[in-house]
Amino acid sequence: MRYRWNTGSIAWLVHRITGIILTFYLIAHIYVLSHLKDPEAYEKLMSMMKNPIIKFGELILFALVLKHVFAGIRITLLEMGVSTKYQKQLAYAGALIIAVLWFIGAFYFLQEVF
Amino acid sequence: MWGWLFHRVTGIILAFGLIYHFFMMHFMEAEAYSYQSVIQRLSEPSWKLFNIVFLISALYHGFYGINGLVKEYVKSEGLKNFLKFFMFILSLALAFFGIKIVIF
Repeated sequence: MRYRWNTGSIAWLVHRITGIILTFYLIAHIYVLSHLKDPEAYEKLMSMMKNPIIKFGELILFALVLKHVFAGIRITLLEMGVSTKYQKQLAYAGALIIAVLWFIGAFYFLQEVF
Repeated sequence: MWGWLFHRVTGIILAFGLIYHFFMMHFMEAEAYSYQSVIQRLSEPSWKLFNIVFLISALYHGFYGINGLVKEYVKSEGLKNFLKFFMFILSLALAFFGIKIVIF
């Protein structure tokens, strides 16, 4: 498959890449949760969550999730019949909403560390 | 067709579920994250139901997506079939372990 590099194809490609990463994260997430029933392992895990490197990872994860959700909404809107004439505007509007939500989320995430 | 429809439905479930998940994980008072209260919460049937729906939706959505990518990008028939089979087994195994975590 060949891509012509424009806003739409880049959005589509990024949607796929974030999707793959999130699926791998899901596998890791299920694995980590399988240790949850033991109190000691739980405390260890929760103190690990305060680690700044992990927090940084959470911020990246949050960005990926936001990106994937809003790209998904955009695709759904386009398929529901919103004219593809507006697909660029949708992509830019999505990017703006993602940026705002990410900064708000990041503010609260980092409050848990500092 | 049904597969794609279900992909979209699970996408919507996940988008709303994640908002909930996000608030649960970051916006409650510190006490709510102690071992006791987390285990307490997870033992409630309504949370079990939520978690199972959330889990199955996420697995379906993720693996349906990757399945589509494999179909589109992997050229060799043999490798394609192997990957599809592998992912099918993997997703079933993850669903099994995930549900086991939720229920017990």
